[in-house]
Amino acid sequence: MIGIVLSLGTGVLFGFSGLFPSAFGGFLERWIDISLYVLVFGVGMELAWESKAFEELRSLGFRVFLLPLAAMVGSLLGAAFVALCSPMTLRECLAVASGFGWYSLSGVLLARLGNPSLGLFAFATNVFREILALVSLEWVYRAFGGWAAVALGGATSMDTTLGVLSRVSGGKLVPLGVVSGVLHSLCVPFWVTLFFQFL
Amino acid sequence: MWLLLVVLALGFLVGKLVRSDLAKGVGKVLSTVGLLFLLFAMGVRLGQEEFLRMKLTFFGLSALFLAFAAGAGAVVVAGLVERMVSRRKRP
Repeated sequence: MIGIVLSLGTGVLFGFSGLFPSAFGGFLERWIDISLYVLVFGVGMELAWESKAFEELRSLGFRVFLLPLAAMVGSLLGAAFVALCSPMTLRECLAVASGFGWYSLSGVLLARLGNPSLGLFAFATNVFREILALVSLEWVYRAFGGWAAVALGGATSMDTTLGVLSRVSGGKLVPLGVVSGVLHSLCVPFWVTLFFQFL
Repeated sequence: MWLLLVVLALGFLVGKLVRSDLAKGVGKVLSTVGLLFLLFAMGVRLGQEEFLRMKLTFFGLSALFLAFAAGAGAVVVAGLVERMVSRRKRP
C-alpha cells in the first residue's frame, strides 16, 4: 500500500516538476507497456501454482458473469445518484461513468462523439477511479470482500490493478479479475456510445 | 488487451515448467517490480498532462465525486451479490 502511493506520488511529482523531460514521451509509453507486461507475466507465474484461484472459478460456473454485471450496474447506479445531486445531466453522468476506469478510451470516445469537454471530464473521472482503486483496494478487500475489490477496479482489474488484486488475495482473485476486466473493457465502447447518443 | 492475456498465459506456462516455490518467488518479484515501475510511469504521465492540470481546478471536484460514487456503487452492489451467491452455495 505504501509502495503504491509512494510510486504513484513520486511519478506525479517528477512529471509535474518537469524533472522527467516531456520529450521522452515515446520512451515513457514504452516503459508503461513493458512494466505492464512484466507485471502480468509475474502474476501468471504466481497463478500457475495457485490451485484455489481456479477452484473458485470452477465452483462459480456461469455465476462468474454476475460479478462484472453487478459491478457495472453498481457503477451506473452511483453515477445516477450523482446526476440527482449535481448540475450534470443523467446522460452525461452515465456516459462518463461507463468508462469503468478506462480513461484513455472513454475520453477519446466522448470527444469523437462530439463533446470534447465531456471527453476531458471522462478522462479525469476515470483517472480518479483508477487511482482510487489502486490506493483503497486492500481496504475494500478486507472490509467488503473479494468481489467488491474486483468490482472497484472495473476495466482495470485485468491490467493495472491486477497486481494489487493478486497481492491482497494471495492470487485467489486473479482469474476473477481477468474475467471481470475483459468484460468491462468489451462493454466500455457500447455503454459510452449508448448513453451519449441515445439517452 | 489480447496481448496482455497472451502474456498472462505465457507467465502461467513458464510457472508450470518450474518448481512451485521458484515460480511463486520469481513471479512475486516480477509482479512487484512491474507494478512499482508501472505506477511511477503512470504518475509521470499524469503529472505531465498539461490540459488535465489546467482543467483540474475547474472540474476536479465533480470528477472526483463521480469517480467515488461510481466506485462505491460497484463495491456495494458486487459485495451484496457475492453474499447472495455464497449463501446459495452453502448446503
